[in-house]
Amino acid sequence: MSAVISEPTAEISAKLNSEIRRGSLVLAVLGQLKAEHYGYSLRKSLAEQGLEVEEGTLYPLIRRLEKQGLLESEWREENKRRKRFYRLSPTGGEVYKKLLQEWLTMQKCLLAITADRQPTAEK
Amino acid sequence: MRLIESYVVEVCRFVPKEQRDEIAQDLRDAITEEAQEVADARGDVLIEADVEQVLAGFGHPLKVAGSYQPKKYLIGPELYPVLWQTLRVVLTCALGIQVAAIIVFASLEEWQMGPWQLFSMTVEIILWIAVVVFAAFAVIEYSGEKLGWYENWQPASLSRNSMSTIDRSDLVTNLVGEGFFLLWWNDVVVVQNFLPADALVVSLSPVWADFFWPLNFVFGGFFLLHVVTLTRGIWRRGGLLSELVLDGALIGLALAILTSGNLLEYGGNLAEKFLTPAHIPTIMQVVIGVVIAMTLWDMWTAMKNLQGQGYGIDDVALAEEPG
Repeated sequence: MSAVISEPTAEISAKLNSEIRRGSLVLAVLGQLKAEHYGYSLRKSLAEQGLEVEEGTLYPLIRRLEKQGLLESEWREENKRRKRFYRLSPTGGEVYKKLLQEWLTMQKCLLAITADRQPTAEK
Repeated sequence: MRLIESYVVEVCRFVPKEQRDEIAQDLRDAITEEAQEVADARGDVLIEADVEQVLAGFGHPLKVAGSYQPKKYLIGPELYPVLWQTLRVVLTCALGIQVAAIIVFASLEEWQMGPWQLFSMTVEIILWIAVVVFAAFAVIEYSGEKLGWYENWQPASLSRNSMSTIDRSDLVTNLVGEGFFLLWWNDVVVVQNFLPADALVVSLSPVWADFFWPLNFVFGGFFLLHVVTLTRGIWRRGGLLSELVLDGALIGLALAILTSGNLLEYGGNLAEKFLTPAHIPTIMQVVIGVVIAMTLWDMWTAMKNLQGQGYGIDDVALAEEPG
């Protein structure tokens, strides 16, 4: 049987997806910036791991995290071009550990909760 | 590139002045960097199409400007329900005070106003109250003041005092009717001003004078009771009993009025053409009969509410609990 998603359901799903993504994105960026990246390379590496982020979302987020003291940045020349490199600050590292712990706990709970609701193969 | 600069300027129009330079620089660098990477991927020099592609990825300047800001509300979701509750209470109280003040003024001196004048005054009051309440809540939201209501809440504060839900539209209808009656009865609003004078002149006969204060008390009581109930949002036992007493008093008065003889005086071409003195008692019987019927309905509703009190969580939900 094919599932027909009505417009309101699709809208609700889109909103909830966006909420889930918004929360997870901070963790993903902090995690990725354990190693140094500049803006473009960060976006690329996130995309390569399956997390596409719009430029208009990523750059303001990086700025916010830097303002909060979770990231450090440095201007350097690479391939004859000046680039701004970002990496986790010591505070960012601590926050990242806590967030990751919370995330893993949540993931464990969610897997347990949804385990019996996985679609079963038809015989 | 001019395109980048135009985009940056457009975004910065929507960000606070003190952050503008910093965000502009940040954004300029980010766009240039992305565009250079696109050009590098093509293996050519940077052209305008590369910048356009990058800007399309960034999206609408307003959206990007919003992303650079923390989420701000004029009145946020935490305060929103309190705002509506406050607005409702303040408006209801203000309108109640307005009606009472008008009655007092009218009884002290010869002071009358037409319905439109009354309407415009009421709208003005509502607007001012709304402005003041919204402004106060915006200040609370802006200053980040914590109300502490949520944190200090105790489940024990939920009184088991018998109560039942209100029918808001029913109460508002009653309030409008009672308010209008009080204004008309106290000569604040003169209906005759809106009837064609030559064609129809209707006035109450002198027998009504005996009922001036009793009807003022009963309708004033109804008005106050309904204002308080609407503000509370629930019927309490005391309120329902008061409603029953006032309903009983109104029915008693209506029956006394019915047996008081000639109730209405009329004149004018139209009235004399279609009405005879014999019609008047019938018309008044119908009118007062309708009032009695409506009051009986209110009594019935009040009694039903009184019997149904506590019929909720205690008797239904808990009864369904296993064990």
